[in-house]
Parts: sequence; structure tokens; C-alpha cells
Amino acid sequence: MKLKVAWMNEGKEIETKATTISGILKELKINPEIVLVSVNNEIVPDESEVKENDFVEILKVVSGG
Amino acid sequence: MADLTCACGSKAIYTRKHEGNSYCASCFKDQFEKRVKRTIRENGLIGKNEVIVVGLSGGKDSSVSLVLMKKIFGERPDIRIIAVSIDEGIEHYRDKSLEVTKKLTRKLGVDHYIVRFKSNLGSSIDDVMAAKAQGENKNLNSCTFCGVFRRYLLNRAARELGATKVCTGHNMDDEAQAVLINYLKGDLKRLARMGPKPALKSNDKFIPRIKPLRDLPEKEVALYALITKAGNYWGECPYVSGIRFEVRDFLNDVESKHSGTKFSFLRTFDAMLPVLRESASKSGLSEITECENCGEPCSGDVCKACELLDKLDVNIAKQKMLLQELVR
Ligand code: SF4
Ligand SMILES: [Zn+2]
Ligand SMILES: [Zn+2]
Repeated sequence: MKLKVAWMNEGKEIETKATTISGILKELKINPEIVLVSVNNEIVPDESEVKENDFVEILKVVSGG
Repeated sequence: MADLTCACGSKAIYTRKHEGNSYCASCFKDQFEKRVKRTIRENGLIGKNEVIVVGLSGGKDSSVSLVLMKKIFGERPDIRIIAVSIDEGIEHYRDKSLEVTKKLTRKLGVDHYIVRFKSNLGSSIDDVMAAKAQGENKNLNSCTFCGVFRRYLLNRAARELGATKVCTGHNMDDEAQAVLINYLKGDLKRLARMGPKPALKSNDKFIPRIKPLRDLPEKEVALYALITKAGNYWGECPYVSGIRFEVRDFLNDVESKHSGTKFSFLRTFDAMLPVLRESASKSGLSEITECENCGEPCSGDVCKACELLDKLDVNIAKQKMLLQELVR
């Protein structure tokens, strides 16, 4: 399935086998503890499912400083 | 699978994994505020007739702590809340976050002071790091310098403002990291001084510090900041370095495989704390003394700030501090 993903000021289209946010984070090697994720501009729990063409935005929330 | 739902029936935005409960935005917000209030109540962090100085960096944690202090205590006639921001002098980072602090205090109607490294120490972090790049102060770690003087200046500023408490935005992750770091370094003295309530024997020069967000994980503080618009500055300092960030990644790595680890780690530490403190006080480790050099409170002969200054080319203003009050 195809998704649009925004991470670290960069947007890209990915092809994924994952069906949930957790699965996508795992594929992208992003620790779920350090991010909040929104799908189509709504914040969602990590266990949420995603579908074709969803826009997944990943915001890094741990601070340095 | 349908959308996850909150106990109230609304669509969930967050699951607290180690509990297995999902929350909608409004129930999450309520839960979060209840937890902060509980931390304050159970540890007796704030009493009557207090002047609370909130250290405000503009990041999500300190912004949330200021918003909540104002929300919980703003109507109390015997409590005054003042924000103090320390400007370490980090271009493209602190200047931006200071703009955020100004907007926030204006919106909340909270008195706000800015204390600059440059005007109180003679050097900003940018200066010190530029000198390091030229070969000076080779072993100096940016975060050590920054942390020591930030605490030092915040304490002095709070004292000059007549504060009874200094409130910081430390969350559960910060605390768990600090416990583990002090453990790894074998710093029993510091460990004994940690914990949910201020531990030190009183010294009029030291203003007790409170951490109302200590029981909330960083991710939840971020979520609260996002949904309440309390803070949304996510910049990162260019000088981030040191063991803290390795420990942070390690703890998050374990947490993602075994949820609840950070929580139980901190709880275990809190449970051991009375024993630790007793043994520290028997061996004189918890004593607060005054620095032989500058007279500020410390736990040895010379304070950490003077110890560092000795190695560096900066000076602490011995006169009254330069506090810049914001003109609104
Ligand atoms: S990352 Fe280090 S140098 Fe930067 S603000 Fe934080 S403590 Fe200071
Ligand atoms: Zn709800
Ligand atoms: Zn000193």
C-alpha cells in the first residue's frame, strides 16, 4: 500500500506492508516513545490502522536542551 | 478494526500502553491535569503564601508547567507566579524559544524576567563554544557548562525575586535519565537529593525546586502541549552532547519493548530514597554549605559554578544580578 509520510521536515511517498502506525514506525526504525503521529491531520494512537493514500505525519517530541 | 475509543465513547487519540487505556483528547487532558494535581498534593509541593518562580525555556515542558501553575493557582490571592527565562546565548535556538516565552507570558498575563548568561557571566554559550573551537577549554562539555550556570542563575534570580519555590518542567523521562546517569556515575550525593519533593536541609540562599510534571512521561507532556496549544516549539539545541542522550535512547529503547519500564524504574528509586537519604545524611553528604568563593549554596567547599569558572575565562557578576524585566 502507498502512503505519504512526513518526518523530520521531509515529505515522501512510501510503499509499505505495514497496516498500523506501529508497523510503519518499525519499518522506518523510529522509536514510538519519541514521536506523536497524526493521520490526515488528526492525532492517533500508535495501534491505529492506516489505509491507502493516508497522510501520516510524524512529529519528534523529545527535546534536546 | 474500528477506531480505538475512549471510555467516554469518543474517538481515542492516545493509548497509555502500560495501562492499556485509550483516551480521547478531552479525557486525556483531564487525566493529565489530575495527575499533576496529585503530584503536587501528595508531595506537598505548594502550600500557602508562596511566590513561585517558573523556569521557562519556551520548550514544551516548561511551557506546560507554567500553563498548569497558572491554571491551578492563578486565582489564589496568596500565590504569585513569576516566569524567569535564562538566555544562555545560543543563536538560532534560544533566541527563537525566547520569542515563544514572551508570547506565552503575555497571553497568560504572567510577570516575566529574562536573565542572560552574557550580561551575568560575561560570556554566552556561543562564546564559550567558539573559544573551544579555537582550542581553549578542551574538556569542557557544553551541557555541563550550560546546566550548572542555568541552575545557578535561576536560583539567584528566584531569590532576588523573593521566591519560595522554583518550579521546573522536568518530566518522567528527564527524571529517569537523571537517576540512571547518577547511578552510572556513582554520584550518591546527587541521587540522595533527587526524588519527588525537595530534600535538602534548608539554607536561606537555596530556593527549593519542585517538579510538578515528574510523574508524566515526555510523550504525554508533548501531547498535552499540542492539544492545548500550551507550547509548540520543537527546536533542538545545536550543542546537544554527553551521556544524557545515550541514556535517553537506551531507556526509550527498553520502554518500547517493555512498556512501563520508565515508570517502574522511577517508582523503585522513589521507594529506595528514604534509605538512601538516611545513609547520605549520616555520612554528611546531604549538608548544604556556602561556597567559600561566592557564598552561594553548595554541597562542598566550592560550588560547581566557581569550580567551572576557575577553568574558564568568564566572570560571575558579584554585584546584584542583572534581571531584565519584560516591558509589555
Ligand atoms: S542541549 Fe546542552 S547546551 Fe543545549 S541548551 Fe540543553 S543543556 Fe544547554
Ligand atoms: Zn473521552
Ligand atoms: Zn561559588
